[in-house]
Amino acid sequence: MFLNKITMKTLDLEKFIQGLSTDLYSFAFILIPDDLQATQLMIDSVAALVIQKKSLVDQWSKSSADKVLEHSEEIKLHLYKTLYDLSKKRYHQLKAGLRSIEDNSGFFALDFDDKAVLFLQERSEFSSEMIEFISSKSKTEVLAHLYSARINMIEGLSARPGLQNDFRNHN
Amino acid sequence: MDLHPEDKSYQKIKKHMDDCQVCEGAYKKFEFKNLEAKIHIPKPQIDSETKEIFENEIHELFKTLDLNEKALLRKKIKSNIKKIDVAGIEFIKNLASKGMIKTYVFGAALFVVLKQFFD
Repeated sequence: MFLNKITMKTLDLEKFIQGLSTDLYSFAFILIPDDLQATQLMIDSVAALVIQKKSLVDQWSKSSADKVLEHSEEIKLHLYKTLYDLSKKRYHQLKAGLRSIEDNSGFFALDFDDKAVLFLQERSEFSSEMIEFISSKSKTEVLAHLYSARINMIEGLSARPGLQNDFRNHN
Repeated sequence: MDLHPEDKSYQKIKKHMDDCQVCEGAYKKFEFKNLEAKIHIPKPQIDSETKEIFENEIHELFKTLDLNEKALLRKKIKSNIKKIDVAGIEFIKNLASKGMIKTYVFGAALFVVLKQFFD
């Protein structure tokens, strides 16, 4: 009975994490633009979080189904942070293989941190404080990355022949 | 653009923008270009096969963790039973110790003396 109780609560956490697959994949793919690598990154992030933050995971898994929902934001934040940290290490090892995607100007040509911060700001529902936590950066650093990303995006897109005319029309 | 409206820096910049038309115009252009650039920020979608792979892997991970949890629990129960067992042996050993035998003799002597006194 007691063992069954533990299994049930862990199951809630498992289901919750499985439900995050869509959001996690988007973030993983923009950090490492490769289908297989992004999938592996997602799986490894969950495994790393479960091992590194065992006390936190125990706390989450031992709370009832309603409490898992209460902790949802916290779980999501820690998962994004682990994913970001892991991808940063892997990115440098895989950089050479990703050159073909990054050589195209636009979003994927941005610097790693610029890309991550801009994606979190524009394509996720995280507040600036949460972005600071995920990227382990100060408010000023996050703002600097955002500004740099925006400028580089505009410059990169202006340089693309198809979009040049559109940008010229607005100047 | 990325500052919170309650931020002091935001209020300072906004105040300047209200007074300076050159800066306001430049900002409006930048804001417009940004809106256009925003379309090019992708949100990659997971396909059903990858989703299934992820879900299976997470299930396997939790299954392993859960088994470990049960194994840890069994180990804990075994160690607690062992502790109780050791404590029981200690208790029996204490009952037959020299100190306890002296206490039994003293108790018996006291019982005999008191019995004679009350008789």
